[in-house]
Amino acid sequence: MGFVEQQAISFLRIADFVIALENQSALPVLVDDGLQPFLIDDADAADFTVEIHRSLHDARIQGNRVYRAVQQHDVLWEIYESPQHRTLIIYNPHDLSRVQQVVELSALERRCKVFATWDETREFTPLDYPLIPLILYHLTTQNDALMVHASAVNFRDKGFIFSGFSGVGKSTLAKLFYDRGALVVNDDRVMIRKQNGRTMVYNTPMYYTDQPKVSPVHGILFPFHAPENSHQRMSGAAALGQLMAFVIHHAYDKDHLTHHMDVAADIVQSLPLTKLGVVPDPAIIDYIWKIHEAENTH
Amino acid sequence: MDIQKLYAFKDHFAARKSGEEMLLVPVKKEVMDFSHFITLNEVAAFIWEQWGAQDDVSSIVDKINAEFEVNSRNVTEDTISFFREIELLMDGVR
Repeated sequence: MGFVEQQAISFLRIADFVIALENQSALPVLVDDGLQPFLIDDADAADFTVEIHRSLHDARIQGNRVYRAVQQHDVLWEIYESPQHRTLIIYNPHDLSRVQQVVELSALERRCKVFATWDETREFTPLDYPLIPLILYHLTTQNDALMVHASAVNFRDKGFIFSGFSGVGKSTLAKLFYDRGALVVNDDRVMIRKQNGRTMVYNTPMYYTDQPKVSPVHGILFPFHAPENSHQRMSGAAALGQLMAFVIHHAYDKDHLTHHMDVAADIVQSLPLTKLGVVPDPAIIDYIWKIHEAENTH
Repeated sequence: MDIQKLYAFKDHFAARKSGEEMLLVPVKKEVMDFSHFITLNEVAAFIWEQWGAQDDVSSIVDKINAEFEVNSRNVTEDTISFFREIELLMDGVR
């Protein structure tokens, strides 16, 4: 556990985005174990600033509701929007009847105000999940970046992303590669960014402790269970649709959606996207490596 | 088929070309699944791009005939069929 002291500024570096945390509350801010490895000592400039405030009563909810994240019948968080502001109301994942944070995002500024609840019997934890993933999502709407349901590994200095629904074998593939000495960037959710002409994949903070990781990307594969290892190279709108299906997007804002499609289309142009029939045993690693080598001899 | 009435919902989709094809993704207020995505081939992508507020089926067919070498009778049937599919898709998102 770490703290951001009262009236102090700390920095997070996540997927090479620098996020300044300005603690404007009169309380020390507790940073949980998942976030702490992403704290950095200093930064010249921030891509985004989070102002932390204590009282929910100071938050202003403006405009109309434009989006609700619903799981079964429960509302996890919702977005209100006016021409100048976007407000997120985030409910406590452990008690969805209670508001956990209200986030005011200015349409014009690269900063937000977070108003968080504080139970006097506990430490002040205004950065509680899912605040950081939502801020990262916001950053993907403003930059050449995508958050994707995927695992990612670096094997022999080559990066591979495995994307798909739960149960298709993303984590199994990551584990098989790990057993062969690969670095597992993450096995569930990753950030993809274009950096200086290269496509890079990063992990983002999870509920467990993990160090920041990054790898260049050499291929995106969409695994499915199959009686034998097989593959099919994808292209065009089908490849774009396949990637977009696993990009995290809220889909209520046409501009954001179009931006994500532009970023995804650029990735489709620059990397091989492949449907991968998988038998979940170590032979799949050599199979994937052969696909990679064949791509690079053409 | 009244495609002018349908046109009001065209803006409910984000469209992106990839090569000659196009991907359409609906703009929605709640979480969606990718079964609502639609990929358009070259001619369908052309229809989507050319489709204006004042168009009817015959004006779209004229545009297709001016752009592609195709059988004019089939074009009318295919165009109506395309807009029926779009109508179904729009029913799911509006």
